[in-house]
Amino acid sequence: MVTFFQNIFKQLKAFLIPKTYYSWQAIIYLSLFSWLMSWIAWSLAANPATVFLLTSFSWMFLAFGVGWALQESKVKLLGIALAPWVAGAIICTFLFGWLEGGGGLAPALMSWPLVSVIVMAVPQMLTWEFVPKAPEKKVRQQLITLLLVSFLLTSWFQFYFRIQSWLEDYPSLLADSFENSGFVFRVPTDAPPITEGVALLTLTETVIQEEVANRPWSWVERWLLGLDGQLSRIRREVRDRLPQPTVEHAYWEIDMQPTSQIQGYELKLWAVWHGPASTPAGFYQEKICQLVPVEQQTTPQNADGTASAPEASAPTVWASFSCDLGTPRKDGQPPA
Amino acid sequence: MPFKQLLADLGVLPLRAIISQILLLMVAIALEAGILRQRLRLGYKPSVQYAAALNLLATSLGWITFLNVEPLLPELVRSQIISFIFFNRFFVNSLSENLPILMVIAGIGIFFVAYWIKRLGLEGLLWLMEEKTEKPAVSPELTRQERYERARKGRAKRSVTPVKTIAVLEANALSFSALLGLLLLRQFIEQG
Repeated sequence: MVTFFQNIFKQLKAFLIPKTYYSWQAIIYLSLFSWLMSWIAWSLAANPATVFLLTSFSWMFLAFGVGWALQESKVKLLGIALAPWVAGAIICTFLFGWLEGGGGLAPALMSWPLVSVIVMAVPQMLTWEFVPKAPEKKVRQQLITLLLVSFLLTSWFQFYFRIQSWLEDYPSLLADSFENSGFVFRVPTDAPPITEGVALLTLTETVIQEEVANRPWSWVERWLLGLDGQLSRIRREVRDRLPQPTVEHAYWEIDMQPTSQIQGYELKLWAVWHGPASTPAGFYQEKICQLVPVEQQTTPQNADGTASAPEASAPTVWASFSCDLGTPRKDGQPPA
Repeated sequence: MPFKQLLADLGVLPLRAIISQILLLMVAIALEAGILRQRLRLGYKPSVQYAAALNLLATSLGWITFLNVEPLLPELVRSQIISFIFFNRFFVNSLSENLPILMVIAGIGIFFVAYWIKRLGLEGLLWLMEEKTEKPAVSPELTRQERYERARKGRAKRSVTPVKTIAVLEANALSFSALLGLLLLRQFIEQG
């Protein structure tokens, strides 16, 4: 039992305390030491430049030490030596990790392959005395290919982030199907597809509600007759009220069509998408609204603001406007 | 399931682009390596390495150009590019009538730019590798057709076009034809 622990202790000692100073453990200890120093400097409110310098040293030593350790133990993944990639990842984390709110993720990922290749190239192109040297022919060929592959990897990462920024500009595209795409694949989600059309229709409903609310029915009927003239004003109004206009709003068009019912009118509100879509005909979203007359006993105000006697007022017909909650998405263009 | 959530957060991934790019690159490298080996007498391994380097160079420069130019393009063009990438089709806007012509012009332009990059790339690569290539005045191998032509014309005019130019041009033409064929085939299969 005692020998067992002694063995463990020996191995641990051999692992933690290297035989020579020229080892990766020494570098890791240097990194820890720099980090400790930077922490002390930070807590003593030292000059930010000092703290920064110490932290940088700590990161550099960490990248170097971990890289060395992996290189020595020859850790491989799918036949690729991991050491330069891990060292590169540590350097990128150091370079861009301080950017807040995940803002450093994009530049870190994009520079990662390049930094890793530089990590691979430097030992081949510098001697231990920091004198530049030409790498061997075979290594040269390898480095050229690796550099070009890293350019390609960087481009793919950048393309990924570019796609995300497109989807920020055109959020409604997410509600469409990417089945036919030769470029992108979407991870299936349970999130329901919601387009900007829904928000636009809700805003349109509010605008019309304000327009026809508390108006006599005859006024509303005249308003409906001149609907085509009103439309451009309503569109402008909706556009002005958008909380966060994006590029894609230029592709949405608000349209509407009244049809007379037995009582009052049915007003169909449409948000028509004229932008990129998976089907040639495109799509639109529909909201069905009812505009009906309601008889209401009103109490008109006198000039002095006091209510006149109830019997003096005649029952007036007022307009009532209400919409369905649903905004179903329909393929094609709305009926003319 | 945190892993599923992580995947969902990743959103739309360019996985199909990456896979088809790898496949097309492999086809192009294989074909071009054959031509380079024949024309430049490089040997099997170096010709594959050279073809790989040249194609990777052209592809990465293409990506860098696209990624830097795309934000500067007018909305009219940008939206069509987005439509093509997400839905594999163009939508109707004021540009859509001219798109086929623009595509053909762009394709021809890309062919010549790719040739130019590969030609310069080959020069740079040979310099980096300190490879000495002898310059045969005539292309090493003549086809039957060429021998016939030469015999018919009597004293044949000796070709003055450097063999490297011919090699890269031929390699580029072959790989572009193959890639175009593959892309058309894919389009045909998906729509047919």
